[in-house]
Amino acid sequence: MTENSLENLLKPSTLAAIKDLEILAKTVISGYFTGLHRSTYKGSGIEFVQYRNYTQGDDFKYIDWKTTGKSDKFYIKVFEEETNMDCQLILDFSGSMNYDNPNSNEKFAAVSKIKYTQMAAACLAYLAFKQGDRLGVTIFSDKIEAYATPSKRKEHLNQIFALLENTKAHGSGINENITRFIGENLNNRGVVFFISDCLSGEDRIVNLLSSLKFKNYDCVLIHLLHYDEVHFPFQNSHMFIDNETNSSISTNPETIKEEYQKEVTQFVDNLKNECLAKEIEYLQVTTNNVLEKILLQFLSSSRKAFR
Amino acid sequence: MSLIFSNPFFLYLLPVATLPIILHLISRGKPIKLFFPSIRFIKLGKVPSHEKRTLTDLLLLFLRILLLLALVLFFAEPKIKNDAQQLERSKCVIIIDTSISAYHQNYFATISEKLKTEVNQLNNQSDFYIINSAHKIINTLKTKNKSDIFNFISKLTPSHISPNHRQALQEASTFIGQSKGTLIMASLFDTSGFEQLNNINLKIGTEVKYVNADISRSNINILGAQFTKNDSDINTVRLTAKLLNEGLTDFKGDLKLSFSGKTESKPIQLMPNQTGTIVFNVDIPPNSNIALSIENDGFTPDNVYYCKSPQTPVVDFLLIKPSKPQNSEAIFIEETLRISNINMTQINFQAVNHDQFNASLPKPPHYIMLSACADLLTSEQLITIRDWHKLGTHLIITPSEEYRKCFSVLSNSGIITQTAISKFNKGISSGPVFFNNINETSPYTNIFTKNGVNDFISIPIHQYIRLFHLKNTEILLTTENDDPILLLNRLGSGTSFVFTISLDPTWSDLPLTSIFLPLIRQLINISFQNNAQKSQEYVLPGIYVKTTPNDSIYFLNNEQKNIPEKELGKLIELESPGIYQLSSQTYIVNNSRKHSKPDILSAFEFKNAILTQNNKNTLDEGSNPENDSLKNYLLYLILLLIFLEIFFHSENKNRKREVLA
Repeated sequence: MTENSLENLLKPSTLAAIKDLEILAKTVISGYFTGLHRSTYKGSGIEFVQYRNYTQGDDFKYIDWKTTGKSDKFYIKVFEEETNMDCQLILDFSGSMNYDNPNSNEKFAAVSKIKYTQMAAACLAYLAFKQGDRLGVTIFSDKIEAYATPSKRKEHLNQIFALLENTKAHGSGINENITRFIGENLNNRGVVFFISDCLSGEDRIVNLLSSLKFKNYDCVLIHLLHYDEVHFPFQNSHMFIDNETNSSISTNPETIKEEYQKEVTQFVDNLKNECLAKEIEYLQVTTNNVLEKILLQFLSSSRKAFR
Repeated sequence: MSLIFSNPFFLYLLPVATLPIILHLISRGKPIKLFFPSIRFIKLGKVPSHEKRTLTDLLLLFLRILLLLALVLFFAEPKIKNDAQQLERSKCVIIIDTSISAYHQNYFATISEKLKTEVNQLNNQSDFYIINSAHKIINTLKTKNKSDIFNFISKLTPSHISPNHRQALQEASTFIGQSKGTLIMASLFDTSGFEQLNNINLKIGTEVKYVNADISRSNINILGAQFTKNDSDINTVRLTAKLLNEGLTDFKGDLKLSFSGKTESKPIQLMPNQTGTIVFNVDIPPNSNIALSIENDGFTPDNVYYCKSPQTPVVDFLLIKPSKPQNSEAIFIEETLRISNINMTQINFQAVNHDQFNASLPKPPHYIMLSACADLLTSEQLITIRDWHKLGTHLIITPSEEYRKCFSVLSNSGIITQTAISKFNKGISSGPVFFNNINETSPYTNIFTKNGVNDFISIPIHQYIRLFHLKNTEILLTTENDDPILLLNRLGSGTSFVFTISLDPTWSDLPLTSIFLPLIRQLINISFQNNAQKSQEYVLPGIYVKTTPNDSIYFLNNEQKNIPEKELGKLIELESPGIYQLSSQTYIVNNSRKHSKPDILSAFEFKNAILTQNNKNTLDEGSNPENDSLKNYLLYLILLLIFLEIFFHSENKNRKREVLA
């Protein structure tokens, strides 16, 4: 299979056709990471994994002198690392995430934000499971829809997949109760992936992530926007209705496109700068971006967390 | 007061005004409803209000509809018709023609009945004025009672004098005055003697009506007859007649051809002012008296055209040969040309003995071949040939044994410029000379280059005549001694080809070779092309035609006319009947009006004048100040709407631009 065809296969629009999130996650992970990464971190844990040659900079205390004596070469004992780190996925399932444009002719705008969130969360969960991290999930709309305490069991992973599949997006979005709940329940150190469109309560989200930083969490805000929300590809007269407040605006999209895009860019920049100021990693993705972008972010963040 | 339209058919275009609405509906439709989470970014921008834009769009739509409506109305030319004017039109004048023509057969009874019907339709409130008019006003009656009119009509008696209704028309004009009345003119024809209507001053809008006997007013004018060759029999001709319907109605009838006790007729059908051509496929002997006739209606006399067929048939190629039968050369040429003519050239060929030739042909032939008989012709015959030659007849000349005399008479009469010096006679024992040079630039001799050089090189020439010739002679063929065999002279429009060899086989083998006939045909064909018959057109006198620089000389009935150089390229009037031969066209001017009575042609002109007058009335009515201002208002409205349309359109665009800025 060529790289191009693989890339095509792993496009969100293609992946959306895979109903089972576990299969989807496996497909993505195997597609991107086979042969590139080892699935677990090796280090100075309890459970022995393998020997390897000594290289400059290795701690002397890990040299296995017995083997070294037998072979006249320095060997290091490698153990599976026991991290005791949490990987927390906080997912926004508010009504705005439901957005999908059935009239769109754009080839990139094939999946809704909620579908993309489900796919991304599934992949992250699977990757975390493969890494041996404890995985916790919080799904909220205008209330906490689901919460799964961190665990590294396989059954837990399956439960999380089921949660992702069965929870519907609705409601107005993050509020004080939700931030309080998350603040109270996330106490271990680890990495937090917060997936949201941030269209309501973005300050609250940033503050929440900022507070989690103080609890030794590495926070990643994945700002997910739909292709239409960024590129505004509408033509002819439209009546835009807010699906959270039901307010509407009738206009000719072509005349306001430029102004709209300016506003969106400014919003994204502001959010990014705010995250940067509070040391929150910010990743802006649109529904036409391949999932690789998020997974790479996962790897980079979790490595940082384990260092 | 009511609104009428001069061009009401434009009102059919009114639905076009709905076009902007249709386009608007198609292009806009309903806005697409979409649940959109990022609506906050739209709110933040300066969104042009949909309602506001809809208002502007609706205004533009309204303007466009108005513009289209105004355009349609402008072209439909609305006019305000004042009903008060209708009421005013209460004066009615009836002029009854009681001149002699009106009592022809029982037509006056018909006219009376029709007049009564017409009077019955008139407004009862009218003031009637009846004028009995013939050469002058004979009797009058002013009344408000229609029955008085009927009594008046029943008592009318004919006058025996030609009509002249000027006085009656002036009286009518005075009576009607400025009140826009009705004028009814009753006569056999709607034109009889009412020509003066153009000269009286009627109030614009006066209604003019004609009451007449509905007799046929068709009149066929036989413009002329043209005789054409009869392909099956050159001794007879066929006739083509040219006709024009100068009447006012369609004509359907027969054209009769009578000659030598025979009658032939052909049906014709012509619309007014239409020209037609009738070809009679009958063989007409030469010099026959011919009559072409058309039966017109009972009132108009038959139209008859007399002419005579040509004395002899039209001849294209005339072979003049010696009358002595022993001249084998001439017999050979005659037979050869006859065969050649049937198979190839399709020209009228005629052969005459030299002593039978005279100037009696109606038209000079295109070609004359003088076959070894020039020395036998009289000076009169030579002069005829020279005159024809000068006008365009081409000659092929072959000398006889009496070659000196041949060249002498032709030279003296001015037909050729060569004289014979001696006969070259090499003798059979010492061998012949051969053709050597061809004038390859001449179209007459390119036949040799086509057929191959060997064909003529091998032709032996035993005898030929050495000539003294002038420089303007063109040499087409020479022997290997550089002596001319075939020369070309020009005189006037004519060309002559002179052989220096007799076509007798003792002189050369040329007549027996395969070259001879193609050569003769080549000479004939090219001269025919140069002298192609010019097209002819039958016209009425008084037309103007444009001359070209080639028309410095033209012929009227074969008489030469000169056009001054400064007049070239201008129009000349073909005023008198005759045949005008211009460089590119021949006009046959024929005026056969003398054949028909009454003078229908002028009646036709009069009818046109009446129509023009009526049109003028309509136009004048349209040009009354109220109607003019209505038209102007429409025009101003259109301009205003166009301005507003441009203004709002650009305003709309600017607003959008501002929003984006």
